[in-house]
Amino acid sequence: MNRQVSKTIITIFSAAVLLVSAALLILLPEKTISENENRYLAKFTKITAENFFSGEAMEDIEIYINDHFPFRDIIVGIKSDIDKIIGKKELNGVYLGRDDYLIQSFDGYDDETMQKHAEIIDAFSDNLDFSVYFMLAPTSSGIYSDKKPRYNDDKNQIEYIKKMYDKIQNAVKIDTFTPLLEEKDNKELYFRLDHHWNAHGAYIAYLAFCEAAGLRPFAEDDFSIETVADDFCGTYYSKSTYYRYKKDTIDVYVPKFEYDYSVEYVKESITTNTLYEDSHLSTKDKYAYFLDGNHSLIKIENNLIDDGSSIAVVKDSYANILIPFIVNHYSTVYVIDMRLFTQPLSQYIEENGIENVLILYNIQTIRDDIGILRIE
Amino acid sequence: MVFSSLIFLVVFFPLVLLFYFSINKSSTKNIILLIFSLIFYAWGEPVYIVLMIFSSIVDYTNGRMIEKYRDRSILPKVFLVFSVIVNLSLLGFFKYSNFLVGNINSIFNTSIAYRELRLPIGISFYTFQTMSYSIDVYRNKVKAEHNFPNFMAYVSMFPQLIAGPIVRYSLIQKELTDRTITKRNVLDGSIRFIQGLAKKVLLANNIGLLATSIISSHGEVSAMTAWLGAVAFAFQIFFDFSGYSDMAIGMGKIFGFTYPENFYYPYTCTSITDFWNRWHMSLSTWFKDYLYIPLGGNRKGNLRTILNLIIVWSLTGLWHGAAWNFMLWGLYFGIILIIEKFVISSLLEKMPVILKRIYSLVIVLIGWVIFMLDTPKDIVNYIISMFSFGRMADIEVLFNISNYGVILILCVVFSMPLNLSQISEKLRIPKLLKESAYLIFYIGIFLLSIVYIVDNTFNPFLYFRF
Repeated sequence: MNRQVSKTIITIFSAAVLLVSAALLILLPEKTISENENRYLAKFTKITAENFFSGEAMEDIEIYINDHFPFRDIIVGIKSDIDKIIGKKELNGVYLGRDDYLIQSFDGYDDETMQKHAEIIDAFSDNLDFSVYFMLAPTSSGIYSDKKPRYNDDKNQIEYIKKMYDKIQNAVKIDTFTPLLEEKDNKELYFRLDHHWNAHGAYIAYLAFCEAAGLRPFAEDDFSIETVADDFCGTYYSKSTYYRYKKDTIDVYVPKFEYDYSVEYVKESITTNTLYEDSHLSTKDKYAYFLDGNHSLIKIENNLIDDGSSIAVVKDSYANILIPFIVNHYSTVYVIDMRLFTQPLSQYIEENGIENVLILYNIQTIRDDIGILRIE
Repeated sequence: MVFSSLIFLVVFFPLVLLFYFSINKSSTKNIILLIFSLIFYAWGEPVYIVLMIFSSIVDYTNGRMIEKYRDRSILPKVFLVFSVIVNLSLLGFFKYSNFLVGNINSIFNTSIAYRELRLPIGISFYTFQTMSYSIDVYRNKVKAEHNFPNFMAYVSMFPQLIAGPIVRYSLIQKELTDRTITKRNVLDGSIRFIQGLAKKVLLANNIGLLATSIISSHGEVSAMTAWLGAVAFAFQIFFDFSGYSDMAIGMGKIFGFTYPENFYYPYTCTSITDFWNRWHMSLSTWFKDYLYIPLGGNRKGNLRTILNLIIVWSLTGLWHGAAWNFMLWGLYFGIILIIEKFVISSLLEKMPVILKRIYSLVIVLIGWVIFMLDTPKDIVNYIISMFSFGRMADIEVLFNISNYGVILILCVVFSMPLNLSQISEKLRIPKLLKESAYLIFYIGIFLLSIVYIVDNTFNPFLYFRF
């Protein structure tokens, strides 16, 4: 074999790869979503004079070809494998951690935004009609420092939480960081491949909330822990595009005591008697199992408590897995997502005679949350 | 459309080749190239295609006029001046008017209104090519092209249209009308293309992630992190730019054209003078032949030489983008070249090679800091960080090195000339093994490049300001 032969083989091989790719791009059936990356794939846009001359049509075509390239999912996974092999420990802002943990790196919470948020919450809490509890939850990055790769320059979440709490005077601040840290070696408190805490983590947060609110919490023994899914690949899995870690299990705390809830999705005018939507367990977004994902307003009646007690949970998705614990203490729980809820909050609370408000966000997403700006 | 995109590799390029090789006649081949080049150019900016056609018509006409009236005393010069004025006006208007008006407004506190113009891609390359054509016709170095499609094909030739090398008409004049496409050239061209693709996609894009993360971190960085950022950027721009040139040269070969080499292991330079003989050679020789020498070069005394160097290097800097930092970058090199020429030439000669290399690389890296940061404040702060030895290292350095160590080593290895055939001969590696390794290497880097393009979360085009 001489050099000329080698070059011929390389040239023909490369050309064949490109041509076969082109053929498959045309021949393979069109996919609409990428399960792994958790997003819709680009659709083929019609070319018009307008988008042609602006160049947008061409951009769309390029995106289309990228999205629908044959075996894209597999290729993207291979790329992350190679990245890992050559020593990358962070892909798209997610650390490839120890013990099959993917952990998003935390890059801080700037003073200006924090000050603005603190003022909003403080102003909202300054009233006599209802008591406000504020819970700023750490993410797995804050709790599992030992699972992150060595030498990482991740910011320390506890400092930011403390700083935020120091700025707030009028709300009851709930520390979940300390109890979570204490429990971290006993149980998995967060999903390994997703940005949420799991039911165990949420239970710890529930205990902290009960202590602050003067409630007597149910013991762990009062629940039977059931595994409803063992193939959960969450947001970190999609974001990192690293697909080798073992998949997550989703546990649920099912009360051993008697319970009876009416769950009303107000805007959608749907009422059910369960906090869990099984249908999501067969999709990618399995966390939506809890309270059917994010809704502007969910009204949950506990039909076994008739003292008229109530709480509004103003929250991001971290609350969805915590609320199943809280519902056992109030006649009515209002679950409000400010990103979607359009009425003035205080007014709604007063109109409905709600006595308590729990504001719950996690430290990672609060910075960019647009809903929090509308709390008033 | 960039070469390192799927649309180019999977759709555009195969189509060009299909049409190109199904036709035998050179002139028809040129028309195929012309049509595809126009599509290529129109891909992002359909409107600006008018500009390129206009520029081509002007220089085509000027070339013919200069030739026709060659014996009339003043006329050829008039046409030449006209051509240069038109080209420089196009460049000036579309590339520098925003910059100019912005500066006038801020200096004189005026508020002249101006529309933000999108820079036509590749305008700096094709205006320089057409200008050099007119000048060469005037200087009687080349015959004027009579066939307009051929001329337009030369101006718009897509392989080198958007990121060079700058191909002078004199170099490919013969090949435009009469070229032989050999199997050997097609194969060599393919290999060269794969080399370029891998440089851009595997090395430049990956080390670029490190460079971008350090540059965009803004805050205080330790000295070692700052140096690491400069090194990463140096590798990014080298592998990106030379990768594009390799792909251009490779495609040229496949089509039967010989383009000039553009880079020759610039980071192995032993002085800054040497660096500029190795970096973007088609640009530095262009400035030398069409500006420095006509200005008198070094033949009019030391003072004039210094002035000429300052002019040439400020403009070289400004060619890279309409912003002060590029001008500063050019001036910086101009001044160092003057110092090398007049002050330390004998010292440089006596220095051991290793010291020469260190000296050159430090100067080049500081140059890249000026190039990569927009404002004087950022530049000064970054350079201060580089020399703040009190804050020598931080945890970030270790993390970055553990993340990017392999890529960094590959970058170092592939910026040096490796004479593999010599090494394998010394080690007496059997031929079959050697050939298999060659085969696997190229197929490997090609497949890897495709894999990295498919997940193209980071595939920047660095020359949008050129």
